[in-house]
This record gives sequence, structure tokens and C-alpha cells, in this order.
Amino acid sequence: MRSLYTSLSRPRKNWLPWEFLSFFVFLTLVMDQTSFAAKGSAPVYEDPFDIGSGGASLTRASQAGMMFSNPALIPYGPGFHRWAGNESTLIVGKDSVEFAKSMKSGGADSSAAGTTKMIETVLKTPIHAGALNNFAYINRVFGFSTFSRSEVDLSAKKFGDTGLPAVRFRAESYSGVGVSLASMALTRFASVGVTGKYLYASEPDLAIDLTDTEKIKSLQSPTGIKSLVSMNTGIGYDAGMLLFFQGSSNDLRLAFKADDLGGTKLKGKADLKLLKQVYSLGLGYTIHTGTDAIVFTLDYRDIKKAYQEELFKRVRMGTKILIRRHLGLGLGYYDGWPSYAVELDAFIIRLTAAIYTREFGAKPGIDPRTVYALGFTMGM
Amino acid sequence: MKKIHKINFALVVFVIFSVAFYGCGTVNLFDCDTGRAKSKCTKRTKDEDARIALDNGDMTTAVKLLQELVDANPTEYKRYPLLSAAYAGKSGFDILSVVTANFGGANSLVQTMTSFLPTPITKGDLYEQSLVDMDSSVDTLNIIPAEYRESTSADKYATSAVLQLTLYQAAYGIMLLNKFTYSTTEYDASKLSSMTAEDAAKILEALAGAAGAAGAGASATAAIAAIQAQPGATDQEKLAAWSQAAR
Repeated sequence: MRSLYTSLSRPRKNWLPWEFLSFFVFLTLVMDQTSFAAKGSAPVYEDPFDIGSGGASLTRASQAGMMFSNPALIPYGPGFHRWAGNESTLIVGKDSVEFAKSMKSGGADSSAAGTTKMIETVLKTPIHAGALNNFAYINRVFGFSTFSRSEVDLSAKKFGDTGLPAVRFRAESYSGVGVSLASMALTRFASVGVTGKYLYASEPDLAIDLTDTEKIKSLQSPTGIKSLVSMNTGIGYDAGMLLFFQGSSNDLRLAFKADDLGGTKLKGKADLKLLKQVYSLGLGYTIHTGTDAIVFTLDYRDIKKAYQEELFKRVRMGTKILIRRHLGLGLGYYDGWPSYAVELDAFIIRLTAAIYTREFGAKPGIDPRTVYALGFTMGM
Repeated sequence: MKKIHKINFALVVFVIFSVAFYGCGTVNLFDCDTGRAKSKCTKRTKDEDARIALDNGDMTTAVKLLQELVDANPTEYKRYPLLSAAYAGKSGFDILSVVTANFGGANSLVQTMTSFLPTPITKGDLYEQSLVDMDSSVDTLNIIPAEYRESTSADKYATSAVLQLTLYQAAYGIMLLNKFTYSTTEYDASKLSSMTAEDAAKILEALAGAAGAAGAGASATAAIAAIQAQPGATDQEKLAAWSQAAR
């Protein structure tokens, strides 16, 4: 809970003109970078509690999520040591769970009608699953993390794009190492941070008509499979800034972040060649006592629409309530859909659960997946 | 005491927000149709709405939307196979049954297709509308110029159009034949006597259109040969004889 609810011990101080100036100089430097093309605007790694709380994590993020949500969050917190531990999360699509239940309770029906019904069920039930893992050490000025995120989505449609039954396979696979450096050297009310990341990344997306025997045949060959599972590699950098206006019972945070400065170029045989540079703004407001807090967060991501995503994917908002540093409840809007999260922090063990919906379509309601995430964290 | 008061304050605020969020239900905040966004919502295109209608099995809406899109941009031939599939779905044609169907032999076309096609028994008074929809399905694909309808094309829309045209022509022929072999309650071969020469010509034309291709097409080729081999002086008589033999 430490990373969610940071120390309130810093004294108040008036905002000085040169501190504003340094902020805008920083903005100008980062905004000058050229935008490139590629996929979604979300960070490569996010904590499930943060996602379930709406995913607005630029001004507040949990544990290792800080390094990738906004490295400028690292200096804010009690003491020098921030976090050392491992986080593992299992992700399962709600539809997949219900499908498994129906298969278990349905029994076998070998008749033609039964076969058609089963195919209908498969066509209507996308399978979504994934796993996240993160091992990290973070202190006030430095962070190190090894991470992996893999999500697979398999869906079939009775009417594909050409009118014939089709199957679509999508995966997102990101793993690598991140190193963060952060500082409050410029001012006590502002921090800056940078994360360098070495990535193994792949995002295969394949749609096949069930009647396309040539395509299916090509995928059965070693080269066809290789094109799906190969990973590209590259080095990228994120930079963030956080302004922290602190009061005795409430505080306000403003964040600015640039993901993939200059564009992260990826090399390899997979199709994903570039992660575009993305600018995001975050706002956070907290009402707190010494041990409890309620946090409101709002992120406006990809300000320049580098990924051409609609507003519902770029605006994230939510609220978290943190009770006695041991219990956290969150709710928000992730991809425009309601999301919920809970976490229990028992000193060195932290359990998280989240329900959220990812929209795979370009517009709300086209291809949503409601997802359950269960996380187990050990560390301190 | 003071601390408890502050905790309660935080809880009260959270509860208020929870209720507010819950009040928005399970809809997307930015959905123009169902969302709560008062500023800027994200409007789906007609193509996307048609996609959702197809996924939900709402063929009437899918046909309406896709037909509007085709009418607005008649040279965008990629939409035609999807519109045709929507018409076929509206008629009651189950494309999944075709995937698992086994076409083989001259008689199997009637037996196999009748096992999953709509009939006067399953559709009742709506069977005529099913025939109209299936006919529209075939007509839609026939509008596509031949160069955009090639089985050897690298464009998957072109190959889909060829495959669908084969299926829907064969299906239309069998559905038309079944109009004269079923009452709304049972198989009734006596209705075959009401088949006109024009009806017989339409059935044979549809089967001939499907003939030549693999799968259902090969079955249609065999069926035409079998029909011609039947006793009878007219096409109606040959079709009637074949229809009863094929059962």
C-alpha cells in the first residue's frame, strides 16, 4: 500500500516562477520529439489494481507499476527504500470461464444438432487469457524491473469480414528489463523520472476464413508458425514529470509523461516494428488522513493521437480508497467500461483482484472482453 | 474519534462515487447510443453497426445497414459478400451447417441441404420470404463484376464471393424445389404437380449456376446429370422424379 498512498511528510512551499519555468522547459523538450506510427497507447506493463481502478496511473501507481506508468512517481514516498518483490497475475476472460462451466455441466451431445450447437457456442465465446509477472527493486532514485506480459485472444465469428466463418487470433507479448532514474533535484514540488527499457515484443493478429485452406495450410508449416511466435527486440525510453501540491488533508498531482521517446524501433521478424511516441497528462486529487485516503485520478493519454485511438481509449478515470494501508478498493472507467478492483496488503503479501473490460474494437461495444485478473505479490 | 470521523468521510465519498459509477450500469461511458458521456461520444460507423448486428444474429438490421452502404457506394465490391451472407442468414441458411456438411453423390444435394435449409415446415407462411431473401443473396453476388469474383484471386473477398455464390445458388435451387415437396406440416410429394415449367427452369438454372465448383458445386453437377437421366417428357416431370428418388 506504500506506493499507493505516499508519504505526506514533506512541508508545504509556495510555487516559484522558475519551478513553473522548468516544468514548461521540460514539456517543450519532450513535445519537440517527432511522432511515429504503431499500436495502442497503454504502457507495456500495468498493475492489475491500477487497471481495475480505471487505469489512470500517471499520478498514482502501485509498486513496480510506477516505473512504467510514470517514473516520476518514484521519489514520492516514505523512506529511501520503496519496493522489492515479485508480482504475478493471472488473467482470464469472463467468457472463457463461463464457457468452461457450460462444457463441464453440458455433457456430450454427438448428434448433428449438438455439434452445430457446440460450434455456435465456440463462435460466441472468445477465449482470452494471460499472465503478468514483474520482479522489481525500487528506491527513491532508482528502479530495476524484469517484467513479462502475455495475453492471448482467440475468437471466432459466424460471419467474418468476407461473410464466411472466420477465426481471429491475437496476442500481446511484452517482456524485458526496465531501469528507472528519478529525481526531485529541481524542486520539492516536482519530480522527473526516466525509464529505459529493453523489450521483447510481439503482437500477432491473424484472421482466417475457415474455408481458406491455403492460409490454414501455410500456418501448419514451421515458417508460418514462426511468423506468429517470433519476438522483436528494441530499446526505448519513457520520461515523466510530476507536480505535487500538498496540503494537510488533501493534495493535488499533475503529471506529464512521454512514452517511447522518439519512437521505440523494434527489430526482428514479427510485424510490430515501432512503438510510437505518446504524450499523456494526468490529474490526481487525494483526500487523506494519516493512514486512510481517497484518491481521484484522471488520465488523458495520447494527447496528439499518435495511435489514432478514439477518446474512450485515451481517457481513463477512477477512484481508490485506501484504508489503514491494508485494504484498497478501486473503481473506474477503463476503455470507457466500468472497472472494479480490490487489494489486501498483509505486510509482505499482497493480493489483488480486478474486473475490467478491454475493448478490442475501434469503437465502444464492437469487440469487448470482460477480464478477471488475480494477482499475488510478495515483497516489501 | 476525530480519525474515525475522517475515515467515515472517506468512506462516504467512496460510497457516493460507487453509487454514481454503478448508476452508469454496464454500458460504455463513451457509447453514443447507450453511454452517459455528455460531451464527446464515440459514434460507430454503419459498417461497425452492421458488424454488431451480424454478431448478434440480427439479420434484418444487418441487411438494412449493409444494403444502405452498398447503395451509397455501389462500386465498393468488398461489401457485397457480407451483404449476401446477411441475406442468406436472414433466409434461414445456416452457414455453420455447410462447414460440417458432407456433399457427395447426385442425390446428396437434396438430402444434405434439406437437413439444414429452411423448409415450409420450419418456416411456415414465412417460407416465401425466405425464398426472396435467398434469391437476393444470389442477386447481390451476381452484381459483382467477374474480375472481382475469381476463385484464383489473391483477394479473399473475391474467393469468398465465388464460394458463397456456389452455395447460395445450390441452396436456392433446393429451397425452390422444396416449395413443391413440403406442406407446412409434412413431406407432400403431391404438390409437385403444381410446379410450372417456369418454376422448373428456375430450379435448373440455380443448380446449373452452382455446378462446376467443388463441394456443393460438384454435387450440383451430379444432380443435373441425374435429373436429365430421369424419365419424363418435361423438366417438371424429370425434377419430380428426381426429387422423389433423391429422398
